[in-house]
Amino acid sequence: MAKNREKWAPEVELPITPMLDMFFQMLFFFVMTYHPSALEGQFPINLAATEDRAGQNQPTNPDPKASPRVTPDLPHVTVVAKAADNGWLESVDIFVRGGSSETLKPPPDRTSGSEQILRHLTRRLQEIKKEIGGDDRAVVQASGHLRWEDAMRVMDACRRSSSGPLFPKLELDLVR
Amino acid sequence: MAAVVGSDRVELNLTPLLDLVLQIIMFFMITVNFVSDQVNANVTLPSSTSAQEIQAKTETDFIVINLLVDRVDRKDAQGRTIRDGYGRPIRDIAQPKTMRIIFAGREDIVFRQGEEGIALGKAAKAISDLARVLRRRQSIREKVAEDQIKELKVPIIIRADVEIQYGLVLPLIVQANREGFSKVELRAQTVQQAQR
Repeated sequence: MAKNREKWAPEVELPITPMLDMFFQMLFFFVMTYHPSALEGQFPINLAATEDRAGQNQPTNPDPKASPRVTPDLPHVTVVAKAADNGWLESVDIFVRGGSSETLKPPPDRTSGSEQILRHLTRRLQEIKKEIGGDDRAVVQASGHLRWEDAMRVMDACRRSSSGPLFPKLELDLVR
Repeated sequence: MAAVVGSDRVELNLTPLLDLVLQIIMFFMITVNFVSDQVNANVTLPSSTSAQEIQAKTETDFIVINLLVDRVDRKDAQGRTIRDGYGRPIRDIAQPKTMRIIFAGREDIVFRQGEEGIALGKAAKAISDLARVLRRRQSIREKVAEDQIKELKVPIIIRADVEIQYGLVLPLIVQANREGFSKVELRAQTVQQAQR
């Protein structure tokens, strides 16, 4: 039987062309549906605390220069980002519980100024982190009309520096 | 291309081509990302150096809230769209500034500057309605009473445009948490993507 089959064995040709057609169709489908949005990242926030504290940490004094009411259960560091009338970042205040407070303001040139202020913020937070030790939480308060891009940059500056994490657990709040 | 010596028959060798196509298909299959119809491509996300890689979702459901500003393509004197070095059209904010909050790719709250309060009221109601529906669905799935459900397992993903105000994003996060959504994620462009 096997001998017969060998004798009668026809030349078998695998038709590759329809398979290739199908592969080209698949290729076309994947090329068309390919989307670079996979590079979107998620930005973690400390949600429970945000909910608990939103609106609670407001200055009771209407004086805009007054420091926020920092209650004992709050993280050690509160960063207050204030917006100019057009929504761009105007200044950043850093409050340390039981310690100092300082205001960082950019020079008049907005773009380079805000870059400078954020670099300065990160540098100061690095120093503060060394002083206060283990607390990895911080509160970020921002003006309601601050542009989301600037708010995100402030949060970025608080979360990590080039040398490592600073305050990865951020709690968000509003300055009114 | 291979020709048999002494024969008129010419055969095209398709095998290397097939190998190549298969490899390209393999690449696209691995990197493919089926964009949900909830994700609005017109949102210009802020870039972030500390944005983390998106975790593979175990949940089958999620709700995306897109906050965006209407934009129009910038045109030159001849009316042609001006493009950047990557061939993407340069877009400016449409005047008067109009913003949108889009829930789950369906509900669309359109508002202008100065109407943020009204928009946030409508958004809070939309989140509340969503929470009610999801709570009912979760109670059926878990076979418990609706009022016993403390946490809604469906994550909320907030994609806010760079030009949206912080004061619009934070109330949505707080409202979502108040309604029982325990997972709220913010989205940003990773810096590598932003530089492209």
